[in-house]
Amino acid sequence: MRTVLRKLGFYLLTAWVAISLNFLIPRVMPGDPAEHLINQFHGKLGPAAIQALRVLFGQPDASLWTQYLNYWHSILTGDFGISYAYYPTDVGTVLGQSMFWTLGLITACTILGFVIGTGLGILAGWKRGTWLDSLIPVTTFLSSIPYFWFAIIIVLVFSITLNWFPLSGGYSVDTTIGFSGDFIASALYYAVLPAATIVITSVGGWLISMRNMMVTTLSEDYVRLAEAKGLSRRRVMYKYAARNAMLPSLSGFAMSLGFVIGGSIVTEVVFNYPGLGTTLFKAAQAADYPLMSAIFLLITIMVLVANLLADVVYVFLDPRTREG
Amino acid sequence: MTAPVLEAVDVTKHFPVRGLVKRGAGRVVHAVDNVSLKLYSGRITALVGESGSGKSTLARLLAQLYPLTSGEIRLHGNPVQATKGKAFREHVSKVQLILQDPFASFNPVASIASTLRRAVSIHHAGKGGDEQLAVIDDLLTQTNLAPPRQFTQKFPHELSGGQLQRVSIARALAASPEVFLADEPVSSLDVSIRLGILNLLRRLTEERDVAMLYVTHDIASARYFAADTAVMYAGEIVETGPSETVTQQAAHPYTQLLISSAPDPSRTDVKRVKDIGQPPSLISPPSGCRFHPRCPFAMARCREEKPPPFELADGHTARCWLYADNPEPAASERPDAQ
Amino acid sequence: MAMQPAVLAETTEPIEPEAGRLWLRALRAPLTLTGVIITLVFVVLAVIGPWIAPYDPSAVSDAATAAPSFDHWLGTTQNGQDILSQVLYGAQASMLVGLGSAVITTVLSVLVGITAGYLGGTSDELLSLLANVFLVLPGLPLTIILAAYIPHSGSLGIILVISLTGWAWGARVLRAQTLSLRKRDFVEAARATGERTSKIILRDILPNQLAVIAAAFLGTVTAAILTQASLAFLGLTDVTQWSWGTILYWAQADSALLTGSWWWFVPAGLAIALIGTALSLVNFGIDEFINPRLRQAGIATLKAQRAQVSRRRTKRVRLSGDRQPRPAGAPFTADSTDVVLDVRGLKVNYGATTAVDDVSFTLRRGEVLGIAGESGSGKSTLAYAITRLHKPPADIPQGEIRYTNADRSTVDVLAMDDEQLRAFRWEELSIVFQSAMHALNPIMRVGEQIEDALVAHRPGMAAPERAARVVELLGIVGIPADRAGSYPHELSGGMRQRAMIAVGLALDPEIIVMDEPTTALDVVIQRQIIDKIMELKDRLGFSVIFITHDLSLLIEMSDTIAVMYGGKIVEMAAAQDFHERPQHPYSRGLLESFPTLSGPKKELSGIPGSPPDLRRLPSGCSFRPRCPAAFDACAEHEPRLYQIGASSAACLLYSDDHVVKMGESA
Repeated sequence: MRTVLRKLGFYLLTAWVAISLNFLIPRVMPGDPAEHLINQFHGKLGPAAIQALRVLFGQPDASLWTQYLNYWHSILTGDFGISYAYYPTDVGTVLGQSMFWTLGLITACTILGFVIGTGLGILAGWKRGTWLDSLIPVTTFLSSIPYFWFAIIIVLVFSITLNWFPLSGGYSVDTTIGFSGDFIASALYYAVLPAATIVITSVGGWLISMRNMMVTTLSEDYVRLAEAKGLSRRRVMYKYAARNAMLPSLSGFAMSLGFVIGGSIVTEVVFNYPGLGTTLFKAAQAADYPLMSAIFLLITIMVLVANLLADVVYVFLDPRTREG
Repeated sequence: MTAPVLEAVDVTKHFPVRGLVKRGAGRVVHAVDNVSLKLYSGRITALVGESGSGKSTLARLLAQLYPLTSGEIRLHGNPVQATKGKAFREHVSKVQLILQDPFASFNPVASIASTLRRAVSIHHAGKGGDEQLAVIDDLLTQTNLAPPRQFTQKFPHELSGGQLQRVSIARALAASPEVFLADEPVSSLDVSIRLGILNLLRRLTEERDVAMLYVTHDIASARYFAADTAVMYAGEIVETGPSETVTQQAAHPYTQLLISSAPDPSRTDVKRVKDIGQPPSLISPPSGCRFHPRCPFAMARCREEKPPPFELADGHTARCWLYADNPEPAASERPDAQ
Repeated sequence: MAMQPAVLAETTEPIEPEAGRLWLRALRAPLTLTGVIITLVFVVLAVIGPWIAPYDPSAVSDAATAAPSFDHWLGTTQNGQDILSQVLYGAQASMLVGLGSAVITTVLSVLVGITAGYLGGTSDELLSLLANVFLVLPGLPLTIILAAYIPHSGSLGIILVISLTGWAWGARVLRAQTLSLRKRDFVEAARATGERTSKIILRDILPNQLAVIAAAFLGTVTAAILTQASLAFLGLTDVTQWSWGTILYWAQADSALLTGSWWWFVPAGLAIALIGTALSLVNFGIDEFINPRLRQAGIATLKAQRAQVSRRRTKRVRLSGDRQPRPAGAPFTADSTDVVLDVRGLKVNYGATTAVDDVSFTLRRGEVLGIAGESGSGKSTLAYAITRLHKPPADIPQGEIRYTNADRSTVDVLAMDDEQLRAFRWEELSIVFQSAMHALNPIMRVGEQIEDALVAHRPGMAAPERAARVVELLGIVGIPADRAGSYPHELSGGMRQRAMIAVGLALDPEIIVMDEPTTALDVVIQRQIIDKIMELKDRLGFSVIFITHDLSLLIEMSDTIAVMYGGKIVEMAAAQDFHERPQHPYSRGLLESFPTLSGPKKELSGIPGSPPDLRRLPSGCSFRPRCPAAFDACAEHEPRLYQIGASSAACLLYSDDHVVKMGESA
């Protein structure tokens, strides 16, 4: 329990760093983003909106400390300003719509990729020296491909050439968003290609790290002892080798999560998927700083929560972390 | 006897316990507590103890690799406090440490020549390349590694354990030290080559009239190799004296336990000291005598008061209440009288 | 900071000494070599790309959206720009960003990692905390934010942004490495020699981390190229500067996908994937170089696997299905003939090296057979071979291991198939390893690891019965019953070793092989364990093969002693005879190497020289170079075991062949 609490403390600290970075970056970067933003709106903004933007991106007339306090006030009250790209919607609303899509797609795909990759890695490690080893160069290639490029190829083949799946979007325009069977079926149908992209490109990394950990673990004395005990191969493989080998892979999971989520986000752009990635793309195109920094914070929080969950699982799996 | 070359006086070393949350709550490992030890020129002193007894820590304190918590290290009677900078280098030029595992104590990616050259250039500053080479050749010859050139171009993994330990001794010799601190110099070597290394160390001690501390867990080797033996238990020295006396008339119950536990096919009488329990925690060591929870002769006094060293015979001392002049009535039984 | 669980760095083992040659061997691995070649090709392309490009990449022409042709090998864009030229020009920008970021990132990682690791203390805690924070922050979004504030940033801006967000991983790995290196003896030895800290870092710490630094460097190149491509694709870089990412940006912006112009985006993406794959392949080579176990898995080729498989198909021997209870055995005496294990002419090879050569011995019921030997004598290999736990490249080309079943039938352990072997193991023969710390699964409760064997071999046993048996077994070895729920790390060293013995006793086996079971323990604990083993042996009546280098211990506890040297048994005798009248010159030398505690001090003579390298055994008798009694014939004849009274020794001194003995007088 102590370990989890300590982790929680660490993630809170990281969240604080991320939020503070978000405060600092526009202020240390050359130019005045706040002024720039306000000009972009061509005088369409009311005084309250202007004030909000200044709180978030720089108040030339206030001390840094006051600015910092004001900034925190805005963050805590959920006031992230008005989106330029989606004017006049405020940032909170924009994110509320797109977050759901990203959460659903990326959570499912990341976990799926991890499970498939780790599973194959266990097999490849257990049967090292067989044809399974030839999977390595193949998966290496797959995981070296830029996610978004793989997405383009997949769209070209399955949407444009074969016309099996829709080209872009998150659901059919014929359906309305809601908990109807039609909508869910359509959302799943539209998610196939983006999901396949994320899973296929992320599997390779997990596979290789798990295979290598398996190989390392298999030469441990305790695996040898398990074999000497005459346990069934299945039990030696799972209970002794795989379970131990998975521990480092799991903490690796936490670490590469940021990378996977980053890659997935760019993937969304190709599919014009209505999630955070596409929103971020549009925000970047329009230099919509309020939206961008809010997305950064949101993703950071998501990654931190995922990390915390992975740590809880880790503590559950490894008794050595439970003491103290 | 002449004055000691190197001396530990009431030396204490506590390592802070690195707490998981904070460096925590003032808890410390009592690695070495109030230990005094004297090393004399031309004489080998053995320091015997089990793992965790603090014997290696004491050797490193004598080498000034760690700062002391309290007490004093004296070189020729002068206190030294030099764990850094020039003063430290001055100290190590007189006091050299030899480590247990020869394979681990060499940089795997450096040749023997380059490792030795580093030591030579530190302690023979101002010598040119050829002179340095001559010094290296001489060092290797002194440690029976001849012809030297056959060894200098090799990498550590190309030599055997025994050869490497000789190079390790050569490296220590480069400083022309007055004191050698040998931390289990033969423990990780094969049995058949241990004797050669020990004989080399003995020869160097005699020829160069240096003081030698021989740290070991093998009390039998102390009997053969060292003139004096000190036995450490849980951070304290519990018995000291001439090696033959300590091994043949062991006074402290712990020394007796150690001796009766050591395998010895020559032993005819199987007199076993019954061992009860485990080595103590060094974070919260037992009160009084630290051996009392395992001691078959423990008395009430042992739990409360720490025994001082009692002089038993010429130079033979034991820190055990059994040897107090006014033993408690309960202590009718002396361990050597059983 | 000790918060993050162990990752990569903690699992990479310190670099093995054979540095120079291994690099070459790594290059010989076909995959690694492929990686190196592809990488070099890309580097060359990046340098000369602009010179060999057929067109100006931005030049507009009439051939709009043209498929690959002779004029435009990779086709053209919507504006008729030549894609080959764009890819060639782009190589420069992409590789520049990759290498530039990697250089800066690596320098930052090395500085932070080594400083933190070497200094320790508060500076370490702060730096590692910072690294961990940066590690958890999602890199790409952060990079996007940073890049967005530098509108249309050129390569330099991107390099800075990537380095700022990417240094943490390498720093973390290097810190962990430095920490473990700092604790290594050779660093302490350098310090004790009086070396300066700066020199220790430069000459002892850094050179031993080159492989890790190289791996981090290559990893960053890949990551940076990918990141740059993503940023460019999102339009966050200067889109007028050609890079692989900007090609893809324009392809996307100009709807290349909808027009089906595959040639527009395929080459750039392939280039990124290829260089990424190539660098990963090189990194695997480095990984195997750092982690010897992976290397082994790499080498353990099909050949070795096939060897194992083919052995499985050899003659099948039926194993007695139901276990027959054996009648209680009488205490062991020297003239017992009740053989349980008969090893004949056993040979074990490690590739071309013979580690165990023509070893034969018998083990009788209730006997303690002590096998003594120094490092490289083949004693542990023998232990693994008897239990068939040897792993490729180890292989048994010859020999028989005949086990006598309770019904007096015998089986050859080497001829068993997988299922027979599984049933045989533990039921008849169990093994106790040297280090219980490593041999017990760290994440399983001790009780469960005992129960485990019961589940596998006693399918009919109910859970409460098993639990009772676990408690009983722990009681037998003197561990309180409530410790069944403990994990190995919660037990003391002595208790772990006793738990290990409890695991070995679980099925009441006939034979227990003990491979240096007390070597890692202090003498006092060793004595407790040995006394326990002897007590149990007398009570339960199993036989023991006890392997150690500690001859004194062996003489005390064994009935029979076998001394191994250079992969062979050189002497076999009853323990008491051996102690009083050692026959082989090596045995005599060994006995004269041990200081004794009791009795008068005797003269210790020791043995000159070192134990032989199994790869380069001397001709004839392998002890000859160290033997005080060697004569000419020893170089030519390999001695077999000669009988001398009740003992036997492999030494030509005892040869009855007069032609050989002639030399002795010379």
